[in-house]
Amino acid sequence: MIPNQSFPTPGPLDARGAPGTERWTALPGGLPSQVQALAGDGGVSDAELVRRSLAGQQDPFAALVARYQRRAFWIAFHVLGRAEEARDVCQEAFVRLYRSLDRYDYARSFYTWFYRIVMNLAIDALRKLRSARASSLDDLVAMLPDEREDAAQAPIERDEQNALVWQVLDKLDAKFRAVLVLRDIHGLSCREIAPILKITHATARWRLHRGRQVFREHWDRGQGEA
Amino acid sequence: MQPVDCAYVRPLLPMLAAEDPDGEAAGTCAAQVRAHLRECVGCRAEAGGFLRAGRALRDAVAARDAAVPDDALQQDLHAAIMARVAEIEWQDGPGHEAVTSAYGPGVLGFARWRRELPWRHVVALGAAAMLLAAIGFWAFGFWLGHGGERDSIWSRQPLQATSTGPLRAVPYAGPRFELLPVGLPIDDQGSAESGVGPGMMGRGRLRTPIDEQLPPPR
Repeated sequence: MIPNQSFPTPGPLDARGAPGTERWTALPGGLPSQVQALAGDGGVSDAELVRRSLAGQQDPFAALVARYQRRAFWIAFHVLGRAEEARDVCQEAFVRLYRSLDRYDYARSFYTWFYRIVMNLAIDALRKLRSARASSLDDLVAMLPDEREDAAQAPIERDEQNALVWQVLDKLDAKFRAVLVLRDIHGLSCREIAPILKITHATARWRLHRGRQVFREHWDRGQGEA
Repeated sequence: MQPVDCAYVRPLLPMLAAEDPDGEAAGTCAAQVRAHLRECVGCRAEAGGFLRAGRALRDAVAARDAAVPDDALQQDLHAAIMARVAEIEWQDGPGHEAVTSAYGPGVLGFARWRRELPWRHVVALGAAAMLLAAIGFWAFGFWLGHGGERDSIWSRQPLQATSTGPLRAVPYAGPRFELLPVGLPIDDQGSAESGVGPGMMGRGRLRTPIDEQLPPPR
C-alpha cells in the first residue's frame, strides 16, 4: 500500500503553494493501491484520466475522485458551513461529473470545470438551507444574549469570535460568500474565480470588493453588540 | 508620485488591505495608497479593520476545519462516491440490459427518469400542459362561437325529402343519414341536400335497389 501523498497535479492551489492547503489536496486514505498510484502520478494529467474513464476504465475515475474530493468537500464546507450538507454536495458533484464526462472540453482546465459544478451545487444548497433555516428558531436562539455572563465586562473569547464570523457569513449573500470563500480561504485569484462562477473578471473583483465590505460591516456591528 | 487623498483611498481599501497573494490588486495606485496610509491615521485604522476582519475569517474557518474528522470522512466519502458511480454504471451497462430484457424497458428506465428529472423540468412540463389546455379551451370556444356546433357532423339533423316514407341515402361524406318525407328537393342526379353541414358533408345520394344490395357505407 502506497502511503498518503500530495499529488503534484497543476492546479490553482498547488501552483501557488498556498500555506495550510495541504490538507485540502492530500489523497484520502484507504484507497486501492492502483488508484492511489494513478492519483499520485503527476505524469498523468486530469485530461488523461478523463480520457481513460471514458474508455470504460473505473480506476482512472476513482483517481480523479481521489485527487479532487478533498477540495470539493472543503469548498462546499466553507460555502455551507455544515459537514453533512458539504458531503452530499461533494457526492452529487462527482455523480454529475461522471454523467457529463463526455462533455468535457479538453482545451479547458479540468479543475475550473469541476469547481463550477461544485460551486453551483453548493450555492443552490446554501439557498435551500437558508430558506429552511428562515422558518426555524435556531438562529434566533443563537442571537439571544447568554444570561450567565456579563458580556459588557468579559472579553470576547476566541470561540465567540469564530461563532460571530460564521453568523456574519450566514448573513452574507450567496454570491458574495462564494467569491469570499474562493479568494480569501482557498486563495484563488479573481481570474480563476471568474470562469468557475461563470462571471467576468470585473464582476468577480466587484463581488470580492463588496463582499469584503459587507462582511466587515456585519462583523464590526456584531463586535459592537457583543 | 502624485499624492492622493482619503476620498481616493477609502474605496480601494477592501481590495488593497487584504492579503494579495498573486499581486492582483497591486497596481500603480498601491504605492500611492501605501504612502497615504503612512500619513493618514483614519485611513490606517480603516485598513486595519479590513485586515482584522480578513484574519478573523481565516481563523474562524481554520477552527471549524479542525473540528471536522477529515480523514475518516474522506475515506467514507470516497467509498460512497464510487458506490454511486458503480450504481450508475450498472444501470447503464450490461446489468441494466439484463434486467430490462427480463422485466421490460420501463422497469429501470422509469425509476431512473424519475430520479434524474430535475424539478425545473417538472415545472416546465406542468406549465406547458397548462398552456396547451388554455389553447384548447380557447379553440373550443372559438369553434362554438363560429357555428361549429351547428355545422358539426355530430349534431346534424336528418334530411327531409319529398316522399311518402323514409328514404335511405348514401352520404358523400360524413355519417349515414336518413331522408324524412317532409319536402326536401331532390335533383335529377338523385342527390339531396340537407342544408346543414358544409359542402359534401351535407349532401347524400338516394339509394337505388342496387345500392341496397351493397354493404352499408362506413
